[in-house]
Amino acid sequence: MQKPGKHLLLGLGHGVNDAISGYIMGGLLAMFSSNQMLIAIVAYNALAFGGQLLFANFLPSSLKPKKIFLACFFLMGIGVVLLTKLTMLAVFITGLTSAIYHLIGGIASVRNDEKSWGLGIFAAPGFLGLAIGFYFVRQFNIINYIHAYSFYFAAAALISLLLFWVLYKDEEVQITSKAKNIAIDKHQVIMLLIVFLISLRSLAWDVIHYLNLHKYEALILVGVVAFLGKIFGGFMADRYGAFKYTLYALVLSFIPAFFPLSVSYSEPFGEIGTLISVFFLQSTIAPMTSMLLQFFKSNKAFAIALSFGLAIFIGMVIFYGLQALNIASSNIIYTAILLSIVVAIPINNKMKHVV
Amino acid sequence: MNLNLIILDAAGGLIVIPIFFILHLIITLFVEGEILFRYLGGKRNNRYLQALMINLASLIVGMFLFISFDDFSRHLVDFFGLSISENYFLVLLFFILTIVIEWLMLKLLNQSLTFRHLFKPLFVMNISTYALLAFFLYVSKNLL
Repeated sequence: MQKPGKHLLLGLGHGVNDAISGYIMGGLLAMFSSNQMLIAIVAYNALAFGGQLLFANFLPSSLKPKKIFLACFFLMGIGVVLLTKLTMLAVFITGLTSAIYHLIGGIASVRNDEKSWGLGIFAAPGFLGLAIGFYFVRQFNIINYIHAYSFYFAAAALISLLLFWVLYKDEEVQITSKAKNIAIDKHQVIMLLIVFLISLRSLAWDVIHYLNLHKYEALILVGVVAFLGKIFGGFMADRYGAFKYTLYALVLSFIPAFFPLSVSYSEPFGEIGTLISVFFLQSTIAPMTSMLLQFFKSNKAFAIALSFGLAIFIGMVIFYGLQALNIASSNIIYTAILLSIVVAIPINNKMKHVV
Repeated sequence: MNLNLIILDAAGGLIVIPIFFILHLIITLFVEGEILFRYLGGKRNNRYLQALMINLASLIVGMFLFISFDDFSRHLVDFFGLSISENYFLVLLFFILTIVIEWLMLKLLNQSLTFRHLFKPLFVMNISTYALLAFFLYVSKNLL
């Protein structure tokens, strides 16, 4: 299989994985009390995102990922089937497979020529999948429907498994160049700033997501724009450089801050503003991951775990903390994006001398 | 209900005051990373990273374990409806759970060191951060 095909397949798998995650999370709405549901969602996020850092530390120096992907899709299907019977086990399985798929899929999508577009294609369908999974949430008014929809999601996992089985060409993926535990050796301040930058981007994204949480069609629209933005960002980073593009994209994502940020069909400017903001905000995912990969050339797993995992989790922690303080959502978004621009400037300047 | 259940010790979820939650999060990482560094040596950055990892592990296991049992999860979410002795009993349970999980995780991250060698820093760092937790708990129940 040619390289673009491999990335498309990895992206498709990512979309299916996140769709199942969204569906499982939505299923919790129907089956748990609100308190239990929130704890379960936090537990899922801790495992799916924070857990990547733990797994990254125990990966071998190289591996052939095909069997891992097949196991992930098999387990995703099992998770869906178990949703109504053993709900927390289903959440655990989904969180586990999500962590592993994001980590291994992310590593597999890193190109040897250090181009970012592969990461963009891999990352692109994530939120769209989640939004589709969530879309089915509103069908959960009657709990019996869960069984009906579970069939479709389990089938999606099975089809993905078959697609990967037939189409995915298993190649050795180099994870670490030296067989030792993760270590932070140099340029740690810039590296931490990049992680913080990703967390801020994630925080702004979480708030936009939260604002549109019960507008299911709007969420899918946001998902489509995020999908396009991520692909666009990957290619633009290759053309203009990851650091420079990230800075410009963050500035462009701030412009719509002058419009209402909730997607609403009755507020066309609000809708357009949000979508422009989402497009540029999400377009920074691939370049930001590329930035971290430049620091951890000897350990891709760590870079991916930080970008797709820990930084997202930190963003979420900040979001929950701020939410409890009752700060206006729009203020959080504006501050997060502005702060991320402030953080991105010194990173951009420093990287001219470092990398 | 707010979502302040995320925190770096299994028991941290018991805190429901946002500012304490953020504070505890930062202080836990700093204190535990520093204690690991003081006791085990090596590079400071790596010890902080290990502190983050073992706390993530205890957080994940702790949350899944407790949400799986209705009684415990009910206690978690109704924490402030319980008496102070029940609160501290739960904290003790969380403490033991944290020690067990983090001990195993720390051993995985430091395979050349023995379990015995790792226990002392682990105990000291968790005593420190749980003392802080107990303080936050006291303040939030009695002074706020």
